[in-house]
Amino acid sequence: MRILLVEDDKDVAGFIAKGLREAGHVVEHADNGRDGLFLAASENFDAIILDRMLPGGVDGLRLLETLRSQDNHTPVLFLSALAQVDDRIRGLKAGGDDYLTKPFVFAELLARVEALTRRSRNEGPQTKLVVGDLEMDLLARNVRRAGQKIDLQPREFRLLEYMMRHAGQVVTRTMLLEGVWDYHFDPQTNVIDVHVSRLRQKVDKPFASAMIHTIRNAGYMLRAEGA
Amino acid sequence: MGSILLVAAWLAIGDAPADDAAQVITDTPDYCAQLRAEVQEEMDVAATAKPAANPEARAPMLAEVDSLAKEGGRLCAAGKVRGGIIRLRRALTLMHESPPHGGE
Amino acid sequence: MPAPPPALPRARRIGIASGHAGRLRWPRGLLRSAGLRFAGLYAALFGLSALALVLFLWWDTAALLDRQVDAAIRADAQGLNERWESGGLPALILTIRERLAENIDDDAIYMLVDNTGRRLAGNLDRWPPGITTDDDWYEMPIVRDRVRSLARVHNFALPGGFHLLVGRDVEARVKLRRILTDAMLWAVLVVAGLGGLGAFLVRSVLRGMLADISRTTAAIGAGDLTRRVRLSGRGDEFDRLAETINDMLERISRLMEGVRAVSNAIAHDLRTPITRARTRLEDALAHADAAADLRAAIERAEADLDGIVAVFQAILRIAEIEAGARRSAFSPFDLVPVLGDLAELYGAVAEERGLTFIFRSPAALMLFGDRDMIQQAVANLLDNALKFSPPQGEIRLLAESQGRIVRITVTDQGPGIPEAERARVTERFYRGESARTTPGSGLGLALALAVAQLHDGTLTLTDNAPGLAATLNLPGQED
Repeated sequence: MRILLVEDDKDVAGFIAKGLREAGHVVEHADNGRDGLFLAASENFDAIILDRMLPGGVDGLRLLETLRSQDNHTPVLFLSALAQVDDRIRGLKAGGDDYLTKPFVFAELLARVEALTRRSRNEGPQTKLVVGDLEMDLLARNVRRAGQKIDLQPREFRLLEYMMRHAGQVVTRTMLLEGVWDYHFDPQTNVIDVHVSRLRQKVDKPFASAMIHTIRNAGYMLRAEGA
Repeated sequence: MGSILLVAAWLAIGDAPADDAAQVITDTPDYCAQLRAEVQEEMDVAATAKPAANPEARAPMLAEVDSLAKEGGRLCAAGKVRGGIIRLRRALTLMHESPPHGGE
Repeated sequence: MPAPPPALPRARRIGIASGHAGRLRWPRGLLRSAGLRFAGLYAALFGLSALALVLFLWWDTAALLDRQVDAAIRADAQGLNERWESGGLPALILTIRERLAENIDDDAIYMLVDNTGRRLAGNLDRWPPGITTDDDWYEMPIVRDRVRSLARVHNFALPGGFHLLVGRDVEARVKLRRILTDAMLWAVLVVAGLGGLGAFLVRSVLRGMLADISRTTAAIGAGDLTRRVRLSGRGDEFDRLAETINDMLERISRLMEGVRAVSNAIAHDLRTPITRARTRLEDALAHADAAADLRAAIERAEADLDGIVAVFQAILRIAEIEAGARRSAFSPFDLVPVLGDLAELYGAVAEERGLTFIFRSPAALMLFGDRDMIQQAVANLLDNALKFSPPQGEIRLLAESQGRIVRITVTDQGPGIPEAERARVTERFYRGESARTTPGSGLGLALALAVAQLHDGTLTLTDNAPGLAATLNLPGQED
């Protein structure tokens, strides 16, 4: 994946670029808004990681608004020290696809960036999700694994749907809270772990192999056996 | 405050002397003398006239006229012409109000 | 309006004298006084109304006098005309003489001239200049006994080229004008005097009323935030101003206390984990030989930093809520599905830990507020309940409406909070002694309280015997 990183802090930028490259991505870096806008507008990227506050007259919001006005729909992840609810809403309104506040855990950033590109790829409405021998019918709202029907509560269904849509990617606890429950705060209790473990009881336990994997220090990943 | 003073100034005008204004000539010592003579003449006529229907009633009037006329003459002589003229006029009016041959 | 220049200098001299001398004598502070300005304004208003009254009187009376004079002249002229018609010129001349001789009021003006302009009878020395049009009214200056006066005359044209002026001296109007002028000047003097007196009175009254406000604000400016403006109890404008100022001071001192509490809290609760993280890193740098030890130390420091960040975010979140900025995002919503989701999310955790979780609510509960905030407040209460519940304990999430109040109660069967500590628990960073060892920012209840206050509600803590019952009391939405 080709990723544009617009971030003025050298340490943070170096850390992110290094991490992304280790994860197998190609990273272009701009350390101010003007260069960032130029790169974003002139080259093709799969995703843009954009700091909100940038030197050089063009801040993150302006950059994004300009980009969107040019009909450029590259997915953008905001990275910002501005953590207030209003700041977040403003960022998303300007055309951002996701918003991550500093300080952040790198695994969270990586998971979100990868999720962004997947989201943009699956634009059309789907009626069926398939991962390995796991099938989900979104219209009939039923789930089968190896032909065997699995009964799920509505919330469990949505949790599994989210993980299937991001199959092969790391999904963090925060992503699940936001994506499945629409909660924008971090509970101090391990609520997500409990719900994932319940889902495992139904999706993995009766079968020979596990599909939901715990990724240490990051979150979970659903993937087909051998994939 | 300024506007009030201006208006006060406007209200105060009217005392300014005018050179080409017409003079009233019925407030001069000459006119005074003329009136005095007229009063005297009429009083003389009244004294010599035939007694009226009620001469007793006319007597106090004549005395009044006489006193008014004398006072008027004195005032005119003292330079208070307008005051004198007014008394003489009153005297004349009194005489004319009660004509010798009529009665109210 | 005719304004002959000779009259003006006197008036102008008066104006300059009073204005100039006054400005020099008045101290500068007095001129800046608001009380003086008010009094000046009132004096000007009084002066203007006196002026209006005088002008009204003038025009009204002058018009009346004019009408009377005109009627007298007309009647006079009528009589003269009859004489002219019955006895011709000699009769007219005689009548004019008689009338002049009997004119006790001393105001009659007659002038009869022939076609050459020669005077035949009357009491003017010459035909007044400017009287040219036949059968017209004139107002003209005359001089009698060397005193100037004003006359109103009518010019009659008689057959044979004779002209007759019949008129009256309207000196009364001039006198009236003089009287009104005097009255006006006196009124100005009185208004100026009373205005000056009023200025001092208003000024001292205003000073007295504002003195306390300015003393209080000065004291507050100097740093004494406990001072408040005294109320007179009259409920007047000054009391309302004082109340507004006191409300503002209340809010300022609350905010100041908040800032102080935050800095204290940062000093107290953030210093500890930061010190711990630093110590661990230093220790690892000095003593850890194996890569595994270093790694472990770094991981622990990372966890410490995450904890610090959590506290930080909670502080900022509370500050954001307390600033009240989120009120713009208020909207009506049904509380029940919100609580249902939370019950489902936390119920699973409770079950996992072997606790009983009970959720009870009516079919619908309408609230007007910020859905996300309430969600987070209840989540915090549930986090706390889970944290302190003993094994086999019971957690309840109850929602009910009582009148217009919507109550959300979370109970647990943990150690609870001693009565003496309950009030302090909602202070930022305060943690009960028994909670010192459990993880968490310690801000859960403080945040729930801030959310309740944002919605004009309260947070009450009661004894669940055993355990704690935390209740959010929020004003409901009428529908």
